[in-house]
Amino acid sequence: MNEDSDLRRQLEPLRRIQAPEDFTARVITSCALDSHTPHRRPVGTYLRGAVRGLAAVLAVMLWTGRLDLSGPTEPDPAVTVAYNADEISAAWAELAWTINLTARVLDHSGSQTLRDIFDDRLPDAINRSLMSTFNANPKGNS
Amino acid sequence: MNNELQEFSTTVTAHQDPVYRLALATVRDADDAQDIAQEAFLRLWRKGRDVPPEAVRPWLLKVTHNLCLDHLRRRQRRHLRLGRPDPNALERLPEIRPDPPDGGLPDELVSALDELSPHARSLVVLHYCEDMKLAEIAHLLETTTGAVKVALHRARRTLQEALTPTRVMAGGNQETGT
Repeated sequence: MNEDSDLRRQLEPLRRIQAPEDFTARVITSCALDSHTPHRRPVGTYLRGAVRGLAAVLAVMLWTGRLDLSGPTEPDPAVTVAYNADEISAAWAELAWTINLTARVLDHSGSQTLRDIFDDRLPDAINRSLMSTFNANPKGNS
Repeated sequence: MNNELQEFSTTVTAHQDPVYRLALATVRDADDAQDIAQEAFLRLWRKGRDVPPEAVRPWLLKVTHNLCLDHLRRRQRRHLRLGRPDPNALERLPEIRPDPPDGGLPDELVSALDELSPHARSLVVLHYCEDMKLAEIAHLLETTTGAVKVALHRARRTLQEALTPTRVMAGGNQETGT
């Protein structure tokens, strides 16, 4: 019993330890910040959702016939001045491939990939598609 | 400040000392102890009214104890990854005395606490500083009263040996006489 009270006395400095003066303020600040910051989904999640939405809209348009990715059966006279039906069809196919690729990659990616897609891959794919069309026939069919 | 935060600040002020004390005695670093105590209160804040007022203190102490052990485990893993320290590194350091990491406890008490495991340090603080009964500690740490009793008995013996004046005064010619 005596030993116990001796030990209690020796541990007295430990009992006197107090939290730093600004501790309450620090805690309240972090709580205030915590309560004012709702648990948001990462930005990438919203963008992925937007791309999925876009893909759904495109699918509906395709299904209802408002979007024809196979290309026009009758060439548009305004376009065919410069390009033939095969070239336009190839460009549509490239565009469909690009959208498909983007949607698939975004589905498995975070913000890093989003940057990668929008900064490099998508512009490259579009650029490649356009360049291949232009290179094939720089002056069109005229 | 809204009413809820105002009310919560009263809770923080009422419980901050025991929570900080437990964290400091267990992790033995003032900055880490402050971070751990802050995290415990943040978790209480997120819990909202799920924790009844009479259960706040034991809840905080339990969370703090667990956070301390997690922190020490992580720190140990970090040290293991870094490998063995250079034994001569301290000699090469310039003569700068850092702030005491232990909140200014007497040296002999610091070295005595160092001889205990983190879990035993927690037990000592809960029993001797927060005056909790063995059954309360057992309930808090989800163990049996017997296990707490045994662990506390060992901790007490280690501390008494480390804190006994003969050992400190005798130096190389020590004899505890117990």
